[in-house]
Amino acid sequence: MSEELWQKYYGQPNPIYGNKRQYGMLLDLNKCLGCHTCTIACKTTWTDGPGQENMYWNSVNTKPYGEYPRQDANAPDGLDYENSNLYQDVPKGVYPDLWQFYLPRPCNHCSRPACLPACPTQAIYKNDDGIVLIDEDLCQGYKNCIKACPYDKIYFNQVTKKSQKCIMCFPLIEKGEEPQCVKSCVGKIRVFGDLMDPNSAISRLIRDPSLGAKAYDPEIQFKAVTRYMTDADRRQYRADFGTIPSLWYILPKNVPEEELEKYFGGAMRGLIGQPHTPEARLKYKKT
Amino acid sequence: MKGQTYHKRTYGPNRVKYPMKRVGARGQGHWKRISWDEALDFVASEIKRISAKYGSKAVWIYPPVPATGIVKQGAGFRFASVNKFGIGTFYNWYGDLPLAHPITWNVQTEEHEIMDVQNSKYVIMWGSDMVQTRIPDAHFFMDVRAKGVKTVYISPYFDPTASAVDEWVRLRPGTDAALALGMCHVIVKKGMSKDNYIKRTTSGPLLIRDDNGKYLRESDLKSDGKKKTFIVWDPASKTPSADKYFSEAAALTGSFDVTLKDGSTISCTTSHSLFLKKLEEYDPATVSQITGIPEADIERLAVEYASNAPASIWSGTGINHWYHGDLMGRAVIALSVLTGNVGVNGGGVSPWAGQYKMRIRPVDYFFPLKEKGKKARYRPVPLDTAYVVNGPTETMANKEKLWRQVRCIWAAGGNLLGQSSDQNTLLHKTLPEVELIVSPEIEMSSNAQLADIVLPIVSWYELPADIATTPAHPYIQYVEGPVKPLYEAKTDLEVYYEICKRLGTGDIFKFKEPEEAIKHLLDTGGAQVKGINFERLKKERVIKVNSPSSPIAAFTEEIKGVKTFKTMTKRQELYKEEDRFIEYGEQLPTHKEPQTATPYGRSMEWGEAKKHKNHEFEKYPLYYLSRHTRWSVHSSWRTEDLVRKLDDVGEPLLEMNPLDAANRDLNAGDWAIAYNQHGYMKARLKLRESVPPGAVLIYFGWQREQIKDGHWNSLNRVAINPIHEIYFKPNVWGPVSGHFDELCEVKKA
Ligand code: SF4
Ligand code: SF4
Ligand code: SF4
Repeated sequence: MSEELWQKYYGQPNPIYGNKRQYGMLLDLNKCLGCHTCTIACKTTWTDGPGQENMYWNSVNTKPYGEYPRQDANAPDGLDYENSNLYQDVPKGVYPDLWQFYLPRPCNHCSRPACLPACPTQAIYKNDDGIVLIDEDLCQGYKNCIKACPYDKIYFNQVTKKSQKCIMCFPLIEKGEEPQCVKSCVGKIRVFGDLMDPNSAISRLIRDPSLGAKAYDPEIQFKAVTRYMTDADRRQYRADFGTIPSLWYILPKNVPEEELEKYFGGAMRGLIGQPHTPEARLKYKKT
Repeated sequence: MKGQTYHKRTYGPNRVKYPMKRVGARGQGHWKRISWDEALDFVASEIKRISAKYGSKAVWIYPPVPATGIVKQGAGFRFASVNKFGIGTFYNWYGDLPLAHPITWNVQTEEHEIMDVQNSKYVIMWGSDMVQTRIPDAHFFMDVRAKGVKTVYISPYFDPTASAVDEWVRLRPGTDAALALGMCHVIVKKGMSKDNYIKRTTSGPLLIRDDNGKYLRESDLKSDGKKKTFIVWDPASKTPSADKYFSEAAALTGSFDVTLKDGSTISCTTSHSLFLKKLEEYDPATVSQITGIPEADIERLAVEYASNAPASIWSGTGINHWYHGDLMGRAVIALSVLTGNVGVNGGGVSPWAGQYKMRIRPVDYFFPLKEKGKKARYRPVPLDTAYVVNGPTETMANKEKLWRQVRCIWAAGGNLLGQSSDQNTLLHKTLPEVELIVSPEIEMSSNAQLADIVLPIVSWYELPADIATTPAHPYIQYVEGPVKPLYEAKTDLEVYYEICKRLGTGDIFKFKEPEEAIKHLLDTGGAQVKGINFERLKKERVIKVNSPSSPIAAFTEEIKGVKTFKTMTKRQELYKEEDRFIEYGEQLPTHKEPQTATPYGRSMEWGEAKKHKNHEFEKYPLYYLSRHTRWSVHSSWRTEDLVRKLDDVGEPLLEMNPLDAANRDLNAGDWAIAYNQHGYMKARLKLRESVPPGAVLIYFGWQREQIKDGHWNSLNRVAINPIHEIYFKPNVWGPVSGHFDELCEVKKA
């Protein structure tokens, strides 16, 4: 990301919501192990209760075919939340010309969230840290936010009848800790911080890719003795949705560029291909 | 990821909560709850009965991998020792022991701690799917790549690691030795081998007798010559002379006439010359034919590997779980040796598989002294697990003394009956001979389901105290569970103690509380833990052990000449002279076609093999691979729903290439059967291009009741390679499982 772009996105307080901080993450997709430690860390911390069985605020999928939630005509509301990791390790191409990558996704805590204005009861708000939250006392379960979020990152709890989503682990942040999915990331692919702070590790790493490829540098505040980030483009996932996501990714080097454009490009260029036998998809019903 | 759900397992419905005795036939699932006293009395009386009838060594303990909890797991060895029971093996039985290590270096396994990859300039992951099977360590490999170091993955499968490296090299399964030797060939031809290093530290300069293939010894030359002194050719004096480790004076190559003590003259050749001759067979064109890798790639890989020092190889079980895995390992080691990479930080060949490495000397705990100050110890009577499952072979080492039918199995080392290779032999031939199966278990595993008596053991969260180490890092850790024992669970240690008490050996076994055992272990633990006592460890929790290198690397002192290798010749032995190596033509690393999984002549070298056809391959044309997944540790966690739900559809799947499926009129999601002459497995099909055409893979670890029909390990046999039986040193030299060396066919169910 150029300095210019950073100025435009993060150089001043959020023009609509006024937050002077915008917490976000940078994830190096070259290093993601698809291990789902993040998923489980989040799940056992926040979504282990009734009605949350199929809720993965942080999900990880093998791209291109993995998706969560997955469109499924047989599922309630046409979306299957239960099988969150289908097409695990199914690459695209024909042996041996293959590619795949893991895409971990929490909520993007967008600068211009689509979910927020969609709520008729104004239950969704953006806090001073730029975190997008649902006030469950105000939520009346209209599910408009679920339809509005282009990233499918809001979930409906069938037991409490409320919408729920990633809270960027704000109770931990208030204690000076990092979110669970960051702390627990076994691949050490995640950098967390304030995108609006020009001196934070994350904003520096986003502006200057070469920084991450250097050895341990106390100046960029890495909390590890050896940790490197790949010197490759930093982009947002599906920036074309226009919500200005606060999740940034370092693009995987092993994926053809034109394919990457579909996920991280400025705009969609055609649909992502479907797997070789879409009509014969595995049935999830137990026989 | 798995550890984060351990509380679910600790409190889960699958826990064994109280002692249970089988009622009805084995495996039917009918149990009677009994008290601890009843259980202990019953087991002790049965053990007494069996010992009286068949001898105490017919009671056989299946030992656990010790380093995960040296007190808890090591207690199994102690239990067997003080009662003179039989004891099985784990490290070679699982197929984790890289036999090439004892063959070349006479060590169990020596390897680099994983952080050492940070010192590498070039990294090859040789059949080791880091990203999936070494989750906690994989970031070191990703980090080093991010830093700009080239990483290479060698595997026929497009595993998760294949998409996380700079280059993915594909070869025909089971031909890894040919690739390594092809690279050696190129390195030698281009003059890139480190000849001084070879001369100083390897068997290279030693003379081999052309007449019998043995090392020439001083005792061959003079009547008062020593048998253990080996001979080199001194080019200055043009005479044979006694070998001096680390000297550069000897001739590395050449054939020389030598006069023996009886006056006759024989011709001898340096072992390096013999190796160079062997390498002539592995020119890139031939290796390309064998492996399917383009010639130019073989040359380029060799040059890259040789010109970026230090270069490390991480070889794992991918190349070890083969009948000829020892040859593959030796070929890969030869590559590292030729380029001077053994013994330097950032180099080496590290095959980490399993928590076998105890960074402490455990002998006094495992095999207690009979009397203080004297040498005699209580010792168990070993019997390799492979023979327990399979029965003895013709070529078994020390057969008269060691072979006996086992009558009691105490499965301390995990899910033996659920995970063992060759399920059909095990269930239908072996188990009917066994009169008592004891399963001390945390959860109701497949092993427990087949047992006669199940004893509730504390989970890792309830473990009062233990210590753990690993080959992956240099620390000794203090382990202390946060909760008190749940239900009626007891520690392994206490159970052993109680049984010993009933057998009259309680005083010798001695330990009931783990703290006491830890103190004993640390006090007698040797140089690595010198200065680490119980109080300090309990306070600091994690302490680095003493070691000559940091990060730990193998053989750093040996290659500096400070120490010699532990082998007979004191050198890295690329050349082996034991009769059986000579009989099988394996004195030097070579490629042999797989024993089963090949279209060509089985177990033959290429020159012969290519002229033959494997008729089994026509019937069963698919390579069959059952392997580790990220979602379980063997069979642990397969029953934890939180984890299982993330594993695709959450059930066993047979995975194959869409092309093979289409040829068999199969679709994704179909029920299918993978089968061969040994057995079958029924599961649904997943189709993906990551599996090369001509192969089937299944991620294993499922409980018996999770499998629709058959078993993934009923397609495997325990095929024992006679080379693995030259010696028997439990977990150091013994039959290494070769279960990747298997074929099958798939049909619609
Ligand atoms: S990702 Fe979706 S739920 Fe999250 S802030 Fe953006 S629009 Fe809202
Ligand atoms: S930031 Fe916290 S709540 Fe959000 S996905 Fe990560 S762990 Fe879950
Ligand atoms: S924990 Fe880290 S490495 Fe593992 S899947 Fe999540 S983001 Fe990727």
